[in-house]
Amino acid sequence: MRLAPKVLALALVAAAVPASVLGVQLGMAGHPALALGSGLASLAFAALLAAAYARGLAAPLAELVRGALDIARGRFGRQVALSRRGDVGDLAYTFNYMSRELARQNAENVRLIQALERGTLETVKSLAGAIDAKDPYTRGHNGRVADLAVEIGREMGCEAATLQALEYGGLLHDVGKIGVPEALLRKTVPLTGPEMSLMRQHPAIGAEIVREVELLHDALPAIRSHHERWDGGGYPDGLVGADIPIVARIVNAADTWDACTSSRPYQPALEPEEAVRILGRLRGTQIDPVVHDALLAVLHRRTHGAVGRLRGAA
Amino acid sequence: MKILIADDDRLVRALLEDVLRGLGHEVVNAADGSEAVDLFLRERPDAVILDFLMPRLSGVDSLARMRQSGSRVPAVLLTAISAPSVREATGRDAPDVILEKPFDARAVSRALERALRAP
Repeated sequence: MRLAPKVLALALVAAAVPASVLGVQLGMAGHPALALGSGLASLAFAALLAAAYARGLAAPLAELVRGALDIARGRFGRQVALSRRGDVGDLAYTFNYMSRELARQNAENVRLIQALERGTLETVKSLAGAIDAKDPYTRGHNGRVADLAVEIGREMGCEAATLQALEYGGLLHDVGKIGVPEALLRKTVPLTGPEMSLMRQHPAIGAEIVREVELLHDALPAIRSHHERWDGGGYPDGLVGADIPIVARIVNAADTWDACTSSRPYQPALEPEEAVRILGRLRGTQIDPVVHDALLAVLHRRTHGAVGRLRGAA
Repeated sequence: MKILIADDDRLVRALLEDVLRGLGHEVVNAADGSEAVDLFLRERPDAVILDFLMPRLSGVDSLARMRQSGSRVPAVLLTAISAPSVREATGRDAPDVILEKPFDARAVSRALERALRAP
């Protein structure tokens, strides 16, 4: 702290002036040794006082500086030691109040953000629930696809925003089925040509439904493109390979897995081994090979637990 | 007379309440600044005694909001730091009287009288 030497110098100057006046007077009175002695003594006394004062001032200020830096690092609520009364003490006391208020406001903001995120997820789930109500055979399907898609994304090392898009996209990938007649959704015999083309509109309808929702912007590609195929034979846009958004490729794989392993109007549920074989045949034709392999890793982990996977990696 | 007191310290509130009731006043109390402003708007007290540093809203900010509502309510500000420091920090929204903690019963009644006499 640069304060200490300044206070010291100031006190020395302040002491030197009266000391020299006294010295000159004593010197004229014929006591030069006494004059010098008393001058030096008063200088030394002033220096000691000034040093003590400067130290007392500098130490609490240094503590305040450290406190301010800690708060800047996000340690809201950090308190400084209150050792001094007076102006610096008042400053420290108010500093501690500020720090506590920052902590309180920060906690309030965190709480609001969490409430907002929860509310969003609940809203998205209620929208997904509307599809379940229409198509009872797929009940729970959207939630399972969302969970699996997020796990695949995590396996592939996707970032947090992508995982969020996978969760929302998984929940809402079939939201466009709201625009498809119920009779078609429940049909147990193969669809006719016109019926099939109507059914195939559901990804585009779904994308249209959520298009204006800013919050679902990243999930939009998962809804529109979850029926595209890696080889380009899918719908609605006939995208090929990496042109298909990654979230859509992942939701497609998760959707396919869940469709195979749960019972549908047109087929009973398959055994996991059989479903894995089917998925293997779709690898590189319908499903992105990288996504396929990540899905297998997730399934392996689900059946064998994290320990088995670690051993497999080593 | 109806007095609003606000302090986050329960003991200070209890002490003030005792003293003020002893003087024959009606007392309403709040535990933080924002509760104090709400209570002020609802109860329209004749004077307020506010702690300087309270959670959610400081005594100075609370007082500014109370006076924004059009009432120039007499105000005493309690403070654990020195009165001159507070006086310099408050500026335009200055309370009528600043009372340093710790205080005794006599100091409270004197401060309240001075606040009520203030223009």
